[in-house]
Order: sequence, then structure tokens, then C-alpha cells
Amino acid sequence: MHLSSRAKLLIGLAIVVVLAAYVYQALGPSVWSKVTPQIPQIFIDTLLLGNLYFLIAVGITMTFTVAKFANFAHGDVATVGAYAAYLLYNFAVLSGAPNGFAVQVGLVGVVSGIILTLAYLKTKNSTLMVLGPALLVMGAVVLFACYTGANLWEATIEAMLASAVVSLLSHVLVYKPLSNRGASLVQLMVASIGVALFIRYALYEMTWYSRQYFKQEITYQNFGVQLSNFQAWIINGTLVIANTTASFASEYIPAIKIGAGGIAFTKLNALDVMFKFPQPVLSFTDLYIWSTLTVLAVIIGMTLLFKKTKIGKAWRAVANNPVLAAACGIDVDSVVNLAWLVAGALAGIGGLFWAIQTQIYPELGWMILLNAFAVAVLGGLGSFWGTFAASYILAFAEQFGVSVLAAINPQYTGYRFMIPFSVFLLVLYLKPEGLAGIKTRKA
Amino acid sequence: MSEDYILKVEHVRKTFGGIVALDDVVMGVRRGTMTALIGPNGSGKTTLFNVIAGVYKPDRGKVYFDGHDITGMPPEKIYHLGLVRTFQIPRMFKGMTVYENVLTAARNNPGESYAKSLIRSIWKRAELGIANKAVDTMKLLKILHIAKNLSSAISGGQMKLVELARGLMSDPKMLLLDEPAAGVNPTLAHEIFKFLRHLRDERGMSMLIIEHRLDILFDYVDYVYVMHRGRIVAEGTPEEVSENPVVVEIYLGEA
Amino acid sequence: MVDKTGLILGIIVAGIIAAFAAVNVSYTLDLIFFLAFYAIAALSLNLEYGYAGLSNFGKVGFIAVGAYTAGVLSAAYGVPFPLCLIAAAIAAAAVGAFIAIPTVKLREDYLGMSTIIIGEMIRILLRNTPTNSVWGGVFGLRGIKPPFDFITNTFERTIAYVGLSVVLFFFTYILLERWGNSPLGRVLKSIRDDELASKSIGKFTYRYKLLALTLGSALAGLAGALYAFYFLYLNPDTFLPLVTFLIWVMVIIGGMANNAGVVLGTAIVILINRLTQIAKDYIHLPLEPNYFQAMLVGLLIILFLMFRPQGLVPEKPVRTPAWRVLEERAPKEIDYLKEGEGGEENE
Ligand SMILES: Nc1ncnc2c1ncn2[C@@H]1O[C@H](COP(=O)(O)OP(=O)(O)O)[C@@H](O)[C@H]1O
Ligand SMILES: [Mg+2]
Repeated sequence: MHLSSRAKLLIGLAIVVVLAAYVYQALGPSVWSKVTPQIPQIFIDTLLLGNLYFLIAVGITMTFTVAKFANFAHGDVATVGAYAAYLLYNFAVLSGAPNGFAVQVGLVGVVSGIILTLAYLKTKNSTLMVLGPALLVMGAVVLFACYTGANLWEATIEAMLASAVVSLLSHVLVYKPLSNRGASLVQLMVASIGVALFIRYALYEMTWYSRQYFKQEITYQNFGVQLSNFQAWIINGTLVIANTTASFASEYIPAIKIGAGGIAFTKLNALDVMFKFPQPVLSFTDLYIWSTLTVLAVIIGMTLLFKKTKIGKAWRAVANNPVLAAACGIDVDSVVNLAWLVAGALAGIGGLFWAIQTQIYPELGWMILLNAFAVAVLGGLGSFWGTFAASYILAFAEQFGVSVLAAINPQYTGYRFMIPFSVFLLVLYLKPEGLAGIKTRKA
Repeated sequence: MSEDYILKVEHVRKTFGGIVALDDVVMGVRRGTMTALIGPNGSGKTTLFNVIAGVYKPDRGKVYFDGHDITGMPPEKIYHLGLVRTFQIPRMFKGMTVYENVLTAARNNPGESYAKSLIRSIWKRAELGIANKAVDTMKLLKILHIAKNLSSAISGGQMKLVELARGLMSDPKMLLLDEPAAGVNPTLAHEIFKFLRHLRDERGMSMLIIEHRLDILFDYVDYVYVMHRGRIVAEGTPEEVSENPVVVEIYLGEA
Repeated sequence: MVDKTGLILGIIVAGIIAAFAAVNVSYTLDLIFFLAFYAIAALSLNLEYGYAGLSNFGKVGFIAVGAYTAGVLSAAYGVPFPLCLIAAAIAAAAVGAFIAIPTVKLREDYLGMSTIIIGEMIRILLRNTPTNSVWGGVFGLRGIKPPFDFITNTFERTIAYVGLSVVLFFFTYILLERWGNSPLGRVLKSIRDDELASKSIGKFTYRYKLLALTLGSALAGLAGALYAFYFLYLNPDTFLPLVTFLIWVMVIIGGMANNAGVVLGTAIVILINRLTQIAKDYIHLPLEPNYFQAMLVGLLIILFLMFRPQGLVPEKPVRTPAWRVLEERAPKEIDYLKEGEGGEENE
């Protein structure tokens, strides 16, 4: 049977469309009448989920471009960041006083950071150049938070730095020596699984230790950040968005009206909002806004980095052909280090957001990783924009699918994990080169 | 297309991103000849081999071998038509010994199927025949004494010979040899070419050979194609080509 | 063919098992069952990874497919035990082929990512099956009919069942040895070492890889069925990815493409596991031993890949009658070494 890949794709898509039509028909109006009103909400939830997917998957893509293997430890790197932030945010200050243990951790961080920085000044080792200052800052942030109380900014810095350091160390201590010894691609993947297991179960060990010796449960906990809840209505053709979290604290809640007449800030009567307003069209939290801003910052940052700076050019050169890049005088080691560092930092933020959105637990990153793999493959493994698009496509599939499942039978939402995985399988069968393949296939 | 040609390459073009590696290449190899493909580094010779051998699909153009259209055919099928290639950078099965490397390259070993491999009596005779052939081939190429060495633990020149031995195991109609004598001393290089000429004369094998050392090469080959920047810029007998001003300029320009 | 490290370690392992047997017979039977179960799984991975170089990170998923196929057939339909074993192997093979068809022609990463996702997908699917059905969802699957129920004495029945598991292990071992020591073994290794070169000498690598994964999955399914009939109860959450990596460690420690080595690796990993379980009751560490063990698994993977990638018992050449030909002819025919350069050319 000889089908061109395009014919295969078209036949496959045709089957998918027919199946979708059949499902649409079979489910009938009782289901769709429940799903249709939720569509705006599905879109905004897609935005959040897509943001969260992107922040994790983009790191997989980045390290893939320079190291050429799929890093199975990436999810666990994210968990480390999430835990660092969680611990700082919740335990830097205990019952009004600085946490003695945290102070010690901070001091160790500062001292080792100084030592490593000094060691860098002596050796000019490009790993120490990053590691020393990173530890120094991390330690300083911990100390600062112990005495002033932790806020989310500090937690974010901690998450980024912790993940970045772990990511870099995994490269320097494991992957780099292995590839220098001529390890195969499969061996590198297996090694990254080793790293993943080590990190994950070290975190498990930490949760056990905390339970055993501090009588403190730190797994399956809510992150503890109070998120504001926003709701939106369309009233007489104007979009009204209000911060409904405030309705419990005061009589009037701040709101924005967006309509034909322009944008206006107003205050709404809390009781009115609670009892007289219709069902909101949309509801979302701070996290939707933060994650969107973060993703925008990442995209702008990466675009500037790649388009405008020497580092970006060097990065691209290394990704294309490391031997040639080295021959052209590019410091390949530093560029590769940078890739691992940035990938780690983004994973840290991603992990933090995931933890805020769901819960904190040692498997967190691992659970995300599989979805992120689905995103990375759909995006074409190694393509930045492919990954970006794939994040939101998969997120939409998942959110839409969950709404449909819930409309059929609320019990079925347990199958939500199947949705990105099924899309993943579909991609493998229909278009294994992923979204990136669509652009390059223009012969 | 004349029957005389065992291999025909017609208007082949191959690009990598923006790089045009092959540009409208037209060439052919006459049956039973040793034909050379020369040209400076990066001129597209290896890429042409990869297109012929099915590693790359050409963007445009056709490749015919022994009356079959093999354009875009996968390498394993092309092999079974009787066209076998070697690699410029030897690709050893590095977890296996030299002997196993050569044995693996035999054609139609019944013991290679999942079902038949379970019953030794089915494949034992064939395996013994292959083993004798492998020993013969290794003896001819003078690598019999390293038969038990791990193929990753031999010299680069020896790897080239193992590649050649693997190529010969299937009694191909034609060999594509990518720098078969690179990295070996001139004496051995001459021996290799003598051996290839012997294959041509005794077994009627056709060959397309990439080689840089023209002084050695030109003593043996029947016909030469010169490649420059992805194009065939000259062709002819060794004498004609070595007097061609274009070729002289290319090679002087390189040096 | 005597390998010193392997032999010494093998003797030590056998000694420890014998020591267990002297102390507690039923504990030892349990240990032997687990050895057989994991050895079948590890050998199946050896076929895929050790020989063919395929990165199957979803082994546990194929085991689960086998286990649940056997379990459901037995519990819901009363299918006889031997048929359940066969059905389990076929079902797992089908899933293996399903994932192999699109992925084995792509880069290794795709197979690795796909298999791990498939493995988790299967577990999550099983978790979400209705709890009031035979599958049992998170509560697990019950009601598997015990095999050998014509034996009334439960102890004897256990002995019979463990004995059967050991027989199936030997079957798997011999199968792998036959495949490995035949021309097929060479072809699989050639694909693992350099797929393009393998294609260039005419090997239909896609077909070989597809079959390696399918047959490897069939063996994993068989192991899963053995598991199901041993415990007569299945829970989706026993089929965690960690099990897959335990199996990987067995292969990596033992030595890839060496079946004896893989069996040794299996024994070592299982014994470490058992000994830590026992040690837990006697030694108080400021550590949770189960978590620590998983960290150790990760660490062992990394250390072995770095410092002894060939494993404890390194790979051996593929043994076929061809070696006899070489042994007979080579001493007589390496005359060119003495003669000097160029003798046989007829110029
Ligand atoms: N896989 C590839 N991707 C990108 N460029 C390639 C690839 N293979 C070859 N090239 C380019 O094609 C050109 C021809 O290379 P090659 O065929 O190896 O030359 P030769 O064998 O004559 O030295 C070179 O510029 C090389 O960089
Ligand atoms: Mg070349």
C-alpha cells in the first residue's frame, strides 16, 4: 500500500471529520445545548491551559534544539521550582518569626554562592559563572523573605532560579559527560529518566521528612495564594468585568465596563452582583492574567533574543550544526548552558503556575510532562512557533472535550487525560512531523 | 536511454534549506566500467550518492538503475536490485565483530526471519555457505586476521575495507564507493584499486567511485565525471579530463 | 563462554535465594515468582532495546494490557487459564503493533515519548473504568478464577503455579537465546548500531523493528497474565511508570543484548528490593526506604550509563555455526600476513 503522506493526511482528516460528525449526531441536542453556552468559558480556559502547557513545553523544545534528545526530567525540574516557591511562600515566616531552618538554608545558599562565584573568578568556568550568582541570589531571597515575609514575586524568583539550577546541573553533571562519551540518543533519554526518578523521589523523600520531623504535610496541598476571581457579563451590549472576590469584603466591587461608548471604570453594588446579575459568561482568576503576561513576555523576549542579539544567532548556529558553530568561534558550551538555564527557568514558572492552579505534590511535573510531550510532538519537536500553536490547540481540545464529557455524564471527566493523548496518537498516525512539518513541506 | 548504461541520473536537483547541493545533474555509468566521480570538497558528490542510493529523495529528476526507476526508492529495496553503496565515513555495526559485520551483509539469509531463526536446521546450510563466502571476502581484502575484533576497535582504513567487504557479500551488479581508499597509504590504495579492477574484469561489476587522489585513481578508471558546486562541469576519459582547462582551474582554485 | 563477573554474581544470587529458601519456603516461592515475572518482562525489553535498540518506555502498559485481558476474560467470562495467557499475549502484541506502526520509522525520541504516553494512557483508562463493572476502576479487578483449582492443597497449588511461571520464564529465555544467536540476532543488532547502514545492506529495518516491538509486547502481556493469575486481583495503580524503569534498570545493569546478563540484572534488582524491605524492619534511617530505593534506581541508571554502559555482563558475539568456519579456516588462510604485500593479484 503506497500512499503519499499528503494523501494519508487527507484520508485521515476525512475520517476524523466523519467521526466528529457522527459523534455530533449521536450525542444529540441534549448534550450540545449544555456545551454551547460554555463556549466563551472554554476559550478563556484554553488560554490558561495553553499558557501553562507552553511554559513547560517550550523548555522541552529548547533543550531539544541544542541537545537533540527529549528530556524526560523536564517535568521534574518544574516540580523543583514549584516546591522551592511553595516552601518559601508558606514557611519563610512561621507564626510571625523567621523560620530558623529557612534562615540556615538561606545562609548556606549565600555562602556557597559566594564561594562558587569566587571559584568562577579563578577558573572562568562557564557553569560556575551561572551557578555561583544563582545560588547567591536564591540564598539572599530566602533570607530576605524570612525577615520581611514572602511574597509571590520572591516565590517566582525562587522557582525560576531553583529550576534553572537543577536544569543546568543535570546537563553539566549527566547529559554532557554522557554525550562526550558518545552515548546514543536512547541512552541520553534513559539517563534523563534516571535524573527524573532521582529528583522526583528526592522530593518524595523531602515530603516524608517534613511529615516525620516537622509534622508538616507538604504534599497534595493548595499553594496558598489567594487568587482574585473575576466574572464577566454582557449587559445591554456592554461587557462588564468585576472582581467578585472583593464582594465578600466590601459593599462595592471594582468593575470595568467595555462597550461602544468606550472603557469605563466603575463600582458595582456587591449585593446586586450576587443576587441580581445573570449567570456570568466568563469567570477567571489572576492566574489567567499572570500566565498570559508571562507567555507574552517569553515570546517577546525570545523573539528579541533570536532576532536582535548575537546570543540568539549563536544559539541558532549551535542548534543547526554544533561542529560548524564551534569552528566559527562560537562558545558552544556557553550557548548550550544558556539553553538549559532558560528552559529550566521557564519550567520553574510553569511549575509554579501549575501548582497554584492545582496543588503541589511530587508527581506534579511528571503529570504535566506527558501532556507537554504531546504538545512538543504536535508542535514538530524543536519548533518554537509549532510548540506555541500546539499548546493552545491541545488545550482547546482538552477543554472542549472535557465540557462535552461533562455534558454527557459528569463522571466521564476522569477521562480528560485521554484527550491530549488521543490527539497525540492521531498526530503520530496522520502527521508525525507535527505542525512544523506543514510549513516546510512546500516542494 | 541506452541499454549500455547500468545507471542513469537525469536532471537531479537536491536542496537543503537554501543550499543547492545538486543542480541538474545528468550522468551515467556504463555497464562493466569503473567510473569516477571527482570534485572538490562540498561539491555534492556524497549527496549524489545518497540520492542514488535512496537516502535522499531528489527535489527533481530521475534515477534509473538496470532498467528500473529507483527515484526515491528506499535503500533496502535498491540493494535488492543489485546496487550497493559504501559510506565515506565508515558506518560500522560497532557492537559487533568484523566477522559479524561481514556476515550480516549477506543477501537472503533464511535465518534472518523471526520464525525460521528458531529452527537452526532451516538456516544452518545457508549460514555455512555465507560464512565461507565471508572468509573468502575477508581474505581477499586482507582483513581476515581482524575478523574477531570489535568493529569499533579497528583503524579507519580497516573500516573502509570492512565496508567494502560488506558491499561484496551480496554479489552486487554495481558498487557505489565513496572514497574507498581514503586514509590508507598509497601502496594499499593501489592494491584496493587493483582489486576493484579485478572485480570489474572477472565479475563484470560496474562501479562508481568517489576519490580525491587523482594520480592513483586515473590509472584505473574508464571514465570520469567532474563535479563542482552541485553540477557536472566536465566528463570524459581520464586523459581528456586531466587536460580539460575547467578541471585544472577548479583543482588549482581549490589548492 | 564463561564470564567471570557474571558467574560469580550468579553464584552469589543463587546463594542468597537458597538462604531465603532455608528460612522461609513460602517467602521464597513468592520471590521466585517475582524473579520469573520480572525476568520475562526484562527479557522482552532486551529483545526491544538490547537487540533492536528500541526505546520502549511503556513496558508496564503492555504488562497491564496482558494482566487485564487475562483478568477480565477469566473473571467475567470464565475463560480457561491457558486461553487467557494466549489472549493476553495477543492483546498486548496488538497494542504494541498499534504504537509501533507510526513510530518505529521516526526518530527514537518519538517511540520513547509515545510508549511512555501509551503506558500512562492505559493506566488512566483502567482507573476510569466503572467501579461497578468487572474492570473495577480504582477499586481494582476481582474474581479471577484461580488456576490449577483441581489441586486442593493451596500450598501445592502455589508450588505448581510458581513452577509454571518458571517454565514460562525458561521458554522466554530459550526463545530469546534462539533469536539472539541466529542471523536474526545480527540483523537486530545492526539496526540498533546503525540503521542506515543496515538498510544499505538490504535489511527491511521497519519490519524488523515493528515485529520486535510486537513480539516484545506479547511477552510483556504474557508476564502480565502471570501476574494476574498469581494475585487474582488487579489494581491500575500497581502499573506505575516506575515499574517500567525498574525493568530498564535490570537490563542496563545486567547488560544489554545478553540474556544471561539481563536475568542476572533482574535478580540483583529484585534482591536489592527485598533486602531493603527486610532491612527496613531492623535499621532506622532518616529516610523512607521505598522512596530511597526509587532514587537509587535513578542513580543506578545514570551511573551505569556513565561508567559501565555495557552492563555487568557485556554483550557476546552472536553464536552461529559461522564461527566454526572461521575457526577452521582462518589459521590456514591468513598467509598474507607472512607473505608481505600484494600476492594474489594477476596483473
Ligand atoms: N543533510 C544535509 N543537510 C544540509 N546540508 C547538506 C546535507 N548533506 C550535504 N549538505 C551540503 O551539501 C553540500 C555538498 O556536500 P557533499 O555532498 O557532502 O560534498 P562532497 O561529498 O562532494 O564533499 C555541502 O555544502 C553540504 O554542506
Ligand atoms: Mg563526500
